[in-house]
Order: sequence, then C-alpha cells, then structure tokens
Amino acid sequence: MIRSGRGLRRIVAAIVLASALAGFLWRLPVPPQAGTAVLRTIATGLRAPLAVAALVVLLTLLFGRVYCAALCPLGVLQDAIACPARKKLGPRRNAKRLRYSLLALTAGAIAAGWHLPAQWLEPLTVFGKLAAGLLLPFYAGVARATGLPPPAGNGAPTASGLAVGAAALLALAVLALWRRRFFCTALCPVGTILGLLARHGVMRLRLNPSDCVRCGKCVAVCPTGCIDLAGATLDNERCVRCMNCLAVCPRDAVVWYAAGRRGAAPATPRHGDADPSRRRFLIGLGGTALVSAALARWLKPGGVAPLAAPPAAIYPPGAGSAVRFAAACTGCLLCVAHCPGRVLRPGNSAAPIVHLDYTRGMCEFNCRTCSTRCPTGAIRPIGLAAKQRCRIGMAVFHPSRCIAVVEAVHCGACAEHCPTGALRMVQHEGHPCPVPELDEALCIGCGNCSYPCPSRPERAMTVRPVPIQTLADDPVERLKRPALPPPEADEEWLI
Amino acid sequence: MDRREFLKTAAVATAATTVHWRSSAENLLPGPGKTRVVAVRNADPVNLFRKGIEALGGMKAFVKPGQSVVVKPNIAWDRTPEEGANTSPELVAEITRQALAAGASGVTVFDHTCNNGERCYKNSGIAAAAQEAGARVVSADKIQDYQERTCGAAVRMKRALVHQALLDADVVINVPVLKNHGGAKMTAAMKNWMGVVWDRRFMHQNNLPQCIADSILYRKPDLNVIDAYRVMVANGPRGVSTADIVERKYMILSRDIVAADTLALKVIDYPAEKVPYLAMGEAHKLGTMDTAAMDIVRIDA
Repeated sequence: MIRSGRGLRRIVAAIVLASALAGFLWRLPVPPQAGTAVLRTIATGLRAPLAVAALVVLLTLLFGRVYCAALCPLGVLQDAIACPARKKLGPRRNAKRLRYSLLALTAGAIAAGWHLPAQWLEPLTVFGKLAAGLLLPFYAGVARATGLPPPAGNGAPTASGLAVGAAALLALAVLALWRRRFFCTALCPVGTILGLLARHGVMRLRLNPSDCVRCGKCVAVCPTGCIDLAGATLDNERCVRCMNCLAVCPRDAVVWYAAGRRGAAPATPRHGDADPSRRRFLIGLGGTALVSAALARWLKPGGVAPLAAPPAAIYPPGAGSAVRFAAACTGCLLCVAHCPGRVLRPGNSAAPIVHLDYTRGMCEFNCRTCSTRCPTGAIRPIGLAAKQRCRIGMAVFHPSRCIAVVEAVHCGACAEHCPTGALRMVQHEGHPCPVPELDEALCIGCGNCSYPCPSRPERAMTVRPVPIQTLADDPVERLKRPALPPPEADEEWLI
Repeated sequence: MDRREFLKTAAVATAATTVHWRSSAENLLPGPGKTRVVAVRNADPVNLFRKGIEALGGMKAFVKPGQSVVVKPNIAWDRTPEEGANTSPELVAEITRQALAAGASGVTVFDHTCNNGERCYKNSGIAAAAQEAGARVVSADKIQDYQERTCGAAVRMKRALVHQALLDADVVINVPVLKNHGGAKMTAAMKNWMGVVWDRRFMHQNNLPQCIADSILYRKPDLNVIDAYRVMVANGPRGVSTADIVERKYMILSRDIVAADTLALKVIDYPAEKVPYLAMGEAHKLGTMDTAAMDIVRIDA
C-alpha cells in the first residue's frame, strides 16, 4: 500500500537517471523529455514529438510537477548530488521574478529563431553536457584502468567537452548543495511552465491547518522550499511532488485535495485582477520577451549584426545550413556520445558548436545515427539515401602535400576509401605512379579521403566547409558503365 | 659496441634468421618443383571450395587435430554480401566448418577493417555466418589487439604491429575477395594481408606495394582461397553499386600466395607488370609468378 508515494517516486527516479546515463554512455535510447520535444517540433516542424510534451502537460495538470520529481534526469541528478549532504532545509523565497524573466527571455529568443538560452537552461541539454562531456570520458578512462566494461559511446576526452561538462557539474552541484531544487524552481523554463500548469492543476497538495502542529519536519525535507509554516501554505507552483513531506508528517497534515471541491482551501492566495504591481510585472515580462526576441533577431547566427556569421565548420548531415544549425543546436552532445565513427566533436575555440573533425575520424557512409538521436531536431531526421548524397563539405586536394605527387609513392588511401567514387587514382604520362583526381560533382565532404590520408604534418586531402548542405550527384548514375554480359557456363577458361 | 647495442643487434639478427628459416623450411614449391594452383568455376562459393580443397588433398592436409586455425577474410567495408566488397560469408562459414571437422581446436576470424569495425563485421554478414559455423570472431580495431614484431628481411616495413590471433595460430588460411583496386590495381591474396597489420598509414606512406609484400613475411598464410565468385571490376576496392560486380563464379586455391594472385589477375584481365607487389613478393621468395612453374588444375564444378 502506497502511503506517501515517496518510495514510488524514488524507484521511478532511479530508473530514469540510470537509463539516461546508460543512454549517453552505452548508445541506448534516452528517456524522451518535454523541453527537447518542444524544441524538436520548432526546429523540424514534426508534430510527433508534441505527443511527449502533451503527455507531460496532462500529467502536470492532473498531479502537479511529478515530471520534475522523477522523470527529468537533471532534476533527479540534483537530488542524487544533494542527498548525501543530509542538510536540514528551510523555506525559500519564491524567486518569481527570476524564473518568469528567464522564461520570457528564453521564449523570446526561441520565437526569434535562436535556441541560445536553452543551451544552459534546457534540462536535458545541461544533463548531456555533463554526461557526454565529462562522465563518459571519465568512465572510459576508469574502464581502461580497471577492466570494467568499456562504454559503447564515444569516450575520447576533449578539452572543451571536459570544460563544459565540469562547468555544468560544478554549477549544478553548488546550486543543489546550497538550495536543492533551486535550478528547477528559479531557472528552468520547462519547470516554470509546468509550475504555472500545476498551480491550476486538478490534484493539489495543502497543509491542513487543523492537523498541523507546526513541527517543521516537512519544511526540513522540502527540496523546493515551497512550504510556509507561518501561513500554513504549500505553493503548488514550486512543489515538484517529491512526496517527502507526506512521508515525514507525523500527523498526516499534508493532504491531497481536488481543486474546485467545496470546502477545499485555495492552494495559493489569489491576486486581485486590479493589482497594479501585477500589471507592471506582466508588462515587464512582455517587454523582456520582446527585447529578447529583438536582440536574438539581431545577434543570432545569420542575423544582421556584424559578428553574427555562423562559424565555418563541417556540420552533421541533416544540419541544413551553418546558420540554421548554429541557431538550433543546444549542445546536449548526445550525437557526439553516440557517433560510431567518433568524428563528431563538441564545440571548441575554433568551431564553438558541435562539428565533424576529420583528423579524428570520418563520417561513415552507411550511418545516420546522429540524425536519429538528436533530441532537439537541430540535426533533422534524414533518410539513408538522402544522407549518402548530402554534401556537408567539399574535398580539397593539395598536390604539394600529396606523397604520390611529391615523392612518387604508390598510395591511393583517399581514393580507396571514397564511398561515392568522387576520387580516383589517375596515371598521368611521365609520372611514375597514379595520383588522386577529384570529381567535385560526386563529393559529399564525408572525410573518408581526409582521415586516412597519410601525408603529414598536413594532410593532402582536406574538406572545406560549405555554408548550405546540398545534394551531390547520384554516383550510381554518374559512374554507370555498359553492363558486362554475365559469363557463360561453357566459356573459355580465363586462367 | 656496448652491451645494449650488442643485445639489440643480436635480437634483430635472431628475428631475421627466424623469418628466413621459416620461409625456406616451409617448402614453397611442393612436389617435383611445381606449386599446385587449383582453379574452380561455375558453382556457388561453398561448392567451389569443396571441389577446390579436394584437389589440394582436403582440409586434413592443412589442419591437424588439435591445431588452432585463423581464417582471415576481407571484411574491410561496411557493405552487404551482394555488393561484393567483402568475402562471401558462406565461404568463411564453410572453411570454418571444414577446419573444425578436420579436428581444429578452434577457428578465429578477424579483419582490420577500413570502415567502422562493428558495422563491417555485422553488415558483411561474416560475423554471424562464422559464429554460426563455430568460429570465434575477434575484434581488430584496437591497438591492444596487436603485438609488435620486427622482420629483418622486410624492405620497408621492418617493424609492425601484427594481430595477436595471427601470431598465436598454428594454421593460417587467407580468404580474400578478388577486386579491382584504385590504388593497388588489384586486391586479392597479398593485398588482403594489410588487414593483419595495425598501422595502415605507415604502409601507405612507405610505398604501399612494398609494404604489402613485406607484410606477408610476418606470417605467411598456409593456404590462400581467392573468392572470385562476385568480382568487382570497377570503382574498387569499395565499389559504388552492384553495377561494379560481375558474377564470375571462380575460385583460386593455392599454398603459394604469389601464384594465386598471378592467376587472379587473369580473371580481372590485368597485366602483371602493373601490379608491382607481385614481383616484390617473388623477390621475397614468397612464391612464383611463372605460370610454367605452376601445376594448374582446372575444375568445372
């Protein structure tokens, strides 16, 4: 028999955290999240992800922010970080102004086509930076040293990935140890929206004044600080339904009630519609959203500001264009962790967003893993046939670096690996060995020539970025030869 | 010469003589001075192999009870069997079954792939087919899978990381697929030995044909089975589509890796002088390019 629901919450939360971590470390599916689902719909126009968001909205309208308590891996992670501290908690100031302002800021920027605020406020993104940037390489190192099962994900450490992951972990740990669910009640735009829904939800929690003896046990275990003993109120907007208070109350004074039922006390004191401070507040929020949208339009990649040009780098197939991808990618690093070719890298000083680095690997021709995993839709879903002709860059041949040209060494590594037949080794009169020749019409910029090129210090094949991903020629059509008749059974022996 | 230097020289000299001794002692030209090369045609890969190995004395002539066997196919590319870029999976399975039937203590299959290892093993169909036949399929995409060896007889690649399984095996069977090759012109038995070495970049940097010939000195295969059932005649070694494939339905089997490749050239109709690693292999005394020195058996299966 479920008494408080805390046990159930803990079980579900543990499963969600474990599966999210396993998802990043072992290339397994990550539990779908509300915030990324909305971003995915905005970025791709697909309606399917909205089902996830709708489910979360419904759940929140019925029971309050149970999503925040147990289904959001970042929320659960904060509890996991803070739980060994066993700190006695107290009521917290309601950081209304801060969270509504951040929501307005985020919404304004996203409406203007720039997902920048989500890079540090969308919970799965923050979780991903931490899991893929820091934990995955860390665990890969531990596994190598101790013989534990190695992660399936890309555990190669990168300076920028480690830095971003460490920053995320540090910030989260400080906030969680200081004020537990501060991120969820003051910063997270997803939490803020769900809070507004929960405030008007069906099933709410309240303190029953006739039973409450003000012992303060509930306040000491509340991670959001949403209980105010003085007024005997529980703020359903901030409450994440951890059920801790229900579990510890000695008098069962924390009770569920259905909104609208006669005799039930309102969860939050109602503001009068004519309240001038409320009006000012709403105008302020609207203003914040408008200013944010205007700034985003000006500053976003491809915007009108002089510095708004997106960084020139190779982006994954399905990114569309540098402008689109730079505006839409939140940097959750799930694609980096899942890339079987280990060629996707976190942003760094040269290219501040996720990109392909052909000194580390090559984009596998038959693979479209990143486009199937991207939770925010920054990498659009792309079919394999389209991916195999999607030009994400253009190969550049540097004869002065090529050992076949300069040292007359038989090599051919580039042409051998080229999956579209864009590169071939051609024997020129007077030169002792064949040298590479590029047919640009077939090149998709996949780096299968660049990565294996043995020339050093600089490779003889490099790939230059293209601003917009386009369709390369169809190699099957372009390289079509007259079909050879199938050999007959009784033909002459060839040997 | 100080002691360290002396020991080093001694070690290299020992390694060199070991390799030389092995090459000469293994009797490259068995019988009365001629090396047997079997060409079979007009059947599926499994039956081509059954007929062909019979003509070489059966699997028992190669595998003695209790010996460990390595079967080294070409699994270089993330492509399907129909696309002809890798060895036929059913052939790898059949060789595995026959080796186990001959009493092999175990059969190990691997290749150092060009595309992502997992994808190649899976999509070539070879990992599943070999495992079902009883083979152990081991990875070759980690440097830890390899061990360093030196070879004094080598011309360019005097030091190489060689796959551990190959070094541990009593019997090694080389099962390449015959293809046109943009760089090396033809890939068959000798070129397939790139897949036992870790550092392909070194090989490309240091005269690829010479390094191909050198690689075989590290462990000469005991039997070569060239799968020429589907032959990639253009856009090799990866191929662009099945239009690059001709169903020749041939198979070439021999103990002599150079002789097998020399005959393979005739199947893709290419002049031997344009494939430099063959002569380099002959210079290493790995086999003969001279068809007059071969005992060629032709079988219509």
